Amino acid sequence: MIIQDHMDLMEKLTILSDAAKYDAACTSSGVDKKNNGAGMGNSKACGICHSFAADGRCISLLKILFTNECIFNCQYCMNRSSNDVVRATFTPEEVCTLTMEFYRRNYIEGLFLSSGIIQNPDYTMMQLAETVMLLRTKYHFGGYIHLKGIPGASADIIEAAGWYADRMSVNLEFPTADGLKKLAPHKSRTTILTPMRQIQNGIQQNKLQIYHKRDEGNHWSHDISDAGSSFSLHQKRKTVIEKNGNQSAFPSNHHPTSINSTVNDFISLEDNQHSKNALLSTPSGSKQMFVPAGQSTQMIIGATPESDYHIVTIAEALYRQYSLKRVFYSAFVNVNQDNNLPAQPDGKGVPLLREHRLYQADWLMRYYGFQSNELLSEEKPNFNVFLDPKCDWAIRHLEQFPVEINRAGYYTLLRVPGIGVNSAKRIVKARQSAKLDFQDIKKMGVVLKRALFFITCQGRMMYNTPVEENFITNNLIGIDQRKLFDIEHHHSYQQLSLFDDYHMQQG
Amino acid sequence: MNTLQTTHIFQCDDTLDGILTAVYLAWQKGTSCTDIRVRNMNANFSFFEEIHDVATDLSLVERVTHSIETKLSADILFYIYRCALSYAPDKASVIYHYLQKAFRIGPSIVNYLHDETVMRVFELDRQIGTEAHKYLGFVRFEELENGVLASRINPKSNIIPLIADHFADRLHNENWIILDTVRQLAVVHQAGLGYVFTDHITEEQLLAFSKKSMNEESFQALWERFFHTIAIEPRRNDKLQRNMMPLRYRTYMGPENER
Repeated sequence: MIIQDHMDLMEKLTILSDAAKYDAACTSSGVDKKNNGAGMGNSKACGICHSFAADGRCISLLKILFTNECIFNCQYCMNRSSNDVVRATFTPEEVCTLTMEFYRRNYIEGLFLSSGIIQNPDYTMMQLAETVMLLRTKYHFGGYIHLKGIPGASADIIEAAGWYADRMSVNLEFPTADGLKKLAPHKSRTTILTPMRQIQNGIQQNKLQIYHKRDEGNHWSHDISDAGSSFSLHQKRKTVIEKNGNQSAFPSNHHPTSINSTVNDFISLEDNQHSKNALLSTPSGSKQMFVPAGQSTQMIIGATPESDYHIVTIAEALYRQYSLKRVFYSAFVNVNQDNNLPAQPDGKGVPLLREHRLYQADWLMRYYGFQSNELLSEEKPNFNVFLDPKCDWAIRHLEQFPVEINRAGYYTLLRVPGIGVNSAKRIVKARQSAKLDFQDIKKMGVVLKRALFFITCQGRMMYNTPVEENFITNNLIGIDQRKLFDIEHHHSYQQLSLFDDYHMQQG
Repeated sequence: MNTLQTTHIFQCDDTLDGILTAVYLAWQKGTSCTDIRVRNMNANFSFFEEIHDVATDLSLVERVTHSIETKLSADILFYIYRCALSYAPDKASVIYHYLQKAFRIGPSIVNYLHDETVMRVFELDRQIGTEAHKYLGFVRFEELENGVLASRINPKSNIIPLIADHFADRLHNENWIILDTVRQLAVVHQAGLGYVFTDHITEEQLLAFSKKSMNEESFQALWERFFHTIAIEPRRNDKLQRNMMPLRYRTYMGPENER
């Protein structure tokens, strides 16, 4: 291990931002905060991108490691202890200076602070907690802070840090215990999931506390207007929260499969006494919130042999059981050229298309009301290379099409390939005042290239196209891509040829 | 419409007040034979038109805004305000026709997205909203010797009024200036207080104001280094970068503007 004693800020920044760049999460979204008047900074729930790097990824936060002097030896990581790389460690003051000066110049939306494990998990987490505390209390920084939870760190340190962060994340790394054991020998299912559950419970308890406080504040006015109502109001809110906590957007699967049970075994965690009473301390008299922008996590894709189906099932279970805001997928890049890991002779990572498909599926699950087992199954465990998950689903469910633009419900419209959230909202708005035709929805900016095969306007299709699997597939896939498609998916569809002609059927 | 009939074109200032004054006067003349246009903006001139030059009249503006607020809604007035900030040459005419339809149909006009004029207003609003949002991230401040943060931008639309509040909140305790070099319009913020808009400020005047501070170069260098190291080189994708951050935004950005 090469450790240099005297290193200037430029060198440290170079090493520690280079070491952090493979982390996928760089969003600044999820919380609306005004400036508190004393310091600098606010936050917008929609998130703001301040630049875009040469790889096209958004730069929103100053994404750095606190240190890369790591005692862990995770196979996939370039900072593993067995690697011969230059090591560096920031001081908390240095991180604060960089954050404040970058923020003032509007380079960044806030700080993303992760770290290698220096000395031990507790010591590392202490360093991170100290840094964010300093940033909030001494520098009065009001911008966004995304902080990593260190697997294996004590609960009280994680909690202390959580009071200063907007978002926290603990990386799941791999979707199986086997993968973790082989590639991240110092991390385990329990050390990762325990802090994740603790942060989830902390967020929920903090929300309850805030409701309590508000009710205390309103106590008198309620007593005057209607004796006893403040108590019942409080009870009502409490039940609302509890109900919403359990009843998430992700209903449980009714058809357990073997992947489902593997996934459940992997992510289920016995609640211990501590995680139930997650918050030990509440800063008295302050309106401070615990991790207000919620929690996220990240998985590395392609270093271990799990199928896409396995991965989306894990993601769905995490959303449901850990109330996560986001799951990020990071296509594996073999920086260490290690024998235990898949070789990547061309120097490029796992196909980015796979990462892309997983994000598409993730959106379908979070915003479009899809469930993982609708998108994939054990018989068909991987995403189609040529069709996005929604087109693929639609072609397998042609019995539900075509849908009528003037009558179909919002969520039915969302299931039409080519119609997204924006288009569906516009259609629902516009049809209040008129019967819509294809010309109308075209004018409204709805792209019909894909949608035209799946919709009718006032009972008519746009062209005289049959709702038929081969025909639609042929039209959705570019002609030059067909050959490749045949090679990869020779089981899923009939043989396609350049001369497929739907009129043949009628003859 | 008979094309040989003379159309009366009301030419106005490039402000919401100017446009609303013209709306009033054109309406008075009769909506069937009138249109309005912003002075000095590119437009197709036709042989059969008579041009009337309109001087902004705040009492007329007052009457138009009052009827928009009472007969339509405050939201629609704000909507029109945003469209009036657009760079689109047809914006005045679009607003005029939009108001004609709106007063016929009522506040539910916002749902008539299948109508071309309504959709055009919707698009203008979205365009300017997108540009304003992009600049929330792409504005770059430089620290001057006297501690003032100075920034230059060259937006297509006049977005400064839409981003001033955001920076006034975020950099509440700083002195800062953002200059729109296209319109020579600046927003100037005083620490702890508030901001004012001033026009006729040139880029040269801003640069002559004060030198860069001592530390400025070193923080710019740190940012430049961060910008380059954070990219994953094997995944270089210039096209995606240009899509997300078109070159026109980068004129006054640091390392992003290296060609």
